[in-house]
Amino acid sequence: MVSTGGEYYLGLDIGSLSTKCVVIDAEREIVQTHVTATGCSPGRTGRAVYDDLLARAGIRDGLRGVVATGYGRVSIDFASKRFTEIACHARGAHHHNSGVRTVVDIGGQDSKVIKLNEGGDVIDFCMNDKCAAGTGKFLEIMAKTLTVDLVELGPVAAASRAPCALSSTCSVFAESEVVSLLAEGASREDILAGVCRSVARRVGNMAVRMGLDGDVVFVGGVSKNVGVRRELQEFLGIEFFELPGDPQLNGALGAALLAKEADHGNQ
Amino acid sequence: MATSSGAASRRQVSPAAGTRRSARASIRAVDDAYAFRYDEIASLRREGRKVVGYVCNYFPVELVHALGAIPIRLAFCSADAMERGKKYVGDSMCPFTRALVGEVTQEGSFTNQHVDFLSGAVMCQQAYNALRVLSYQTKKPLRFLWLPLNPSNDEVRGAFLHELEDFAAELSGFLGRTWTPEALKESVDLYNGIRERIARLYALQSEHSQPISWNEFNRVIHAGPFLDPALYRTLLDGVIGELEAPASTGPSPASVNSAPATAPRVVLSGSIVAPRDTTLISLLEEAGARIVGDDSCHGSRTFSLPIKSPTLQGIADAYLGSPPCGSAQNPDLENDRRLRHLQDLTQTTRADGVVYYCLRFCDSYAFKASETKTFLEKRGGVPVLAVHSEYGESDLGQVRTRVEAFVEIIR
Repeated sequence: MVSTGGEYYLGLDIGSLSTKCVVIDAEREIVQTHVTATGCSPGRTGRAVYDDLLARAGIRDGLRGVVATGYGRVSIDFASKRFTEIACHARGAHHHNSGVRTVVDIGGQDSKVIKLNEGGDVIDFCMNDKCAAGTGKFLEIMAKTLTVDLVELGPVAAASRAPCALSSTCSVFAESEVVSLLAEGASREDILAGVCRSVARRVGNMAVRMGLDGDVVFVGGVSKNVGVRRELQEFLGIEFFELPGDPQLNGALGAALLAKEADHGNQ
Repeated sequence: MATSSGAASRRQVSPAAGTRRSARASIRAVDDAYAFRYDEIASLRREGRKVVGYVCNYFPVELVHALGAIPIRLAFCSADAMERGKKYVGDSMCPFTRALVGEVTQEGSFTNQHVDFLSGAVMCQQAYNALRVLSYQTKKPLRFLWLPLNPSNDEVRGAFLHELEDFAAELSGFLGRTWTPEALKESVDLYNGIRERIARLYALQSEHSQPISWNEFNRVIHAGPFLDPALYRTLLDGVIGELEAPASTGPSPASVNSAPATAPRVVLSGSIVAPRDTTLISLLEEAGARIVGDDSCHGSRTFSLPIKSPTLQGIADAYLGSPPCGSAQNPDLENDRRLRHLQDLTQTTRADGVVYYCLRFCDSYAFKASETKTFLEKRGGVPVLAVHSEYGESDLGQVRTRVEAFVEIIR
């Protein structure tokens, strides 16, 4: 709950597809969250989310710091600091569980594997190549091709018993592969399960190259997709540590935490 | 050399080319000499001088110089040239070879008009084949200088000397000139003098309290293989003099990259950084890093080969003994001279991290990214970031995120 007279820190994570915002108080408790589509103007969307949250009672006067992250961070002129989403995801995950040593993040345009030390500092990371394969964008394109609502993609795929094999890692070619599979009479469930498996393998291989340590968390918009989550756990042979709250907000939470740390550093 | 399609490109070279005019007079003198060199070479050719366009830093420039010809290194990185190159080489070739082919085949480009003879002492298949395509498309004569893939092997050193003798004889025939031991000694001394000065410049830049930006520094280093070597040597003295001058007499800190003493120190390694390939360097400096050295084949590796005796044997030994290209084969990882050299470099420059630049489809360096990272992190405790990128700015956002996250780690 927002109370008057409190101090607040705002983290704004502007991804390629979604903009996420988290406000925390002096006790590091989340008091406000917001998720919206980024659209074509990250700067304007960030500003709108910020203004909307500030308009809510009590926050404006007590706001002590704003940290922007995500690919749109460069467009946020009102941020007191900017960090990469890599630093923010690490901080967000460490906040909930100091035993986390590996963060797997799949967002709209990037997928990443981040390694942390005991203190929650990033010690290494790896990102996908300049390609939509293994990202939320790929899932979005596939959902469109198969006329499935994006949020339904995971549950529909979970119903599959025999996932189709998608040979192509290129989103554009995978789309034509899907059309061929439909023509051959494959079911939507099986094709979607194949789509989830393809994303999971792509990112899973990256995680294997990096090496998995300690507790592993799965964050970012795609982590909410049950199909990809299941496939990725199966591929890696592990169970993810389940973060309390929305894993899509992890980066924004980390940004808010970094805003608080920066504020204390200045005192 | 910068992209140079006639007059338009000449404007691109001096003040522009994505970088502002230097605050230091000695660097402006290098830029001016570079801009003037196009007309100078055209004029020298009218007087009968020949131009040898070459690729790779294993090419013995002093031999060409001793024969009275003008060696110029062919290296381009414009996105336009890269696109034009696709007419002759596929998308899956590295951006450097695509830009090379795109530039030299372009009718009216400086190199298309003024290169008489193509050559290269190449280790990678892409540069090798790009030269063949170039020769076929432009009808310019081509002679490779064969290079052993494992330059550390003693037995092949003798074979390389024979090859160098044959090469010298053929080049001599093509140019209609013969070289004398005196002329060779003069050339070797000249280029050795340049190498000493470049080494001094690298040391100054690494330790300077007000270093110039690395892109500006590169403009000085990269100008060498295009300028007249005697003039270049004099120009380098000017730059060294200005950098050695007390800070109070230099330009104001606002006009140079005044990285604070606490900025994380980064060594740039990996694929070729062609002249005017500025994006990654700008992103690193914008993120707050200070570049303190490189092992680029267009940077410090060009100059890490003092020639001890002014003979073909001396030249052969020096080139094969220089820190190897990533395309060189060395099955013994423990004694890999490339990795050792890089490790030494991180120690002498007190680097906090290494950024390993991997041009897309540069297979040699891509394959070695992982072993470089493992070697340096395990042996030297120096974190390594591999950045895969190509010319143009299509992946600017992705590269920026990687670079900033790396600087966050090593800060």
